[in-house]
Amino acid sequence: MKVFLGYEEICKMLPHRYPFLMLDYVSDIVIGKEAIGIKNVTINEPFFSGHFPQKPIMPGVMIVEALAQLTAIAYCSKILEKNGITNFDELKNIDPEEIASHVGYLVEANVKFKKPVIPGEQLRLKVVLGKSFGQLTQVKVCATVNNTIVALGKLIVSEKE
Amino acid sequence: MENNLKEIVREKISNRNKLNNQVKEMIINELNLELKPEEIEDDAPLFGMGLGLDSIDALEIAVGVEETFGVAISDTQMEVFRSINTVADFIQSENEGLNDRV
Repeated sequence: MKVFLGYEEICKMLPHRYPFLMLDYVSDIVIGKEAIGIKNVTINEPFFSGHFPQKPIMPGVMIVEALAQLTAIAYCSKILEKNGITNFDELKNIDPEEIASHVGYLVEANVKFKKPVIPGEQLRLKVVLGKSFGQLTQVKVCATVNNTIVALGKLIVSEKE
Repeated sequence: MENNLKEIVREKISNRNKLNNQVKEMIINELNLELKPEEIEDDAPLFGMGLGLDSIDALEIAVGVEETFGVAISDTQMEVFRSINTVADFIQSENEGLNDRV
């Protein structure tokens, strides 16, 4: 499903805020299963001041963080549906704390970084939720820049108790 | 007749050993363990003592069993993860159940 979840909608679904909100918008969602999102990387990112002063490269862990946040969006969409909200316009009426409180933790990350990401590039993030076992769910993740894979692997995330 | 029976038993044992080895290889690959299949005992506990696996590993083994052997373990069947033998038992019984239905 094509959607446009921008800053306001994302803030309703994630507890993350500046400087740790690593998603600009979400463009596609398969409720509870998949999501595609965009992160525009600019020289203004706080981490570039130290990583590295002469040669800005986006830290791999920040790409993982962006993928984990998108995973939370895909996951939370399932909770929204359970609460009878199928249209994302209805998000306006929702107390942000309500959904954001369901966001769990990143338990494992097994990701290959295939190419450095530098300021000016646009990260296209894709996550596909896989098998769940107890409170844990495996997620296949991929990040591309201009259709070239920059990060590829899998995460394991947990539900919040 | 007796020889025939021996043949059948021998074949069953060799098939089972093969399956146990496949399970061990799958677990080693799935969890990136620094072990060889022959270093894992068929009856040693996988979790806690023994291999010392945890719930995160359980998810990865469940995924591995599904991808490698085509049978799904649900999280209500934790007893399947007791040892290599119990995982192999589960795969065997699921496959036999499938054959019966066909």
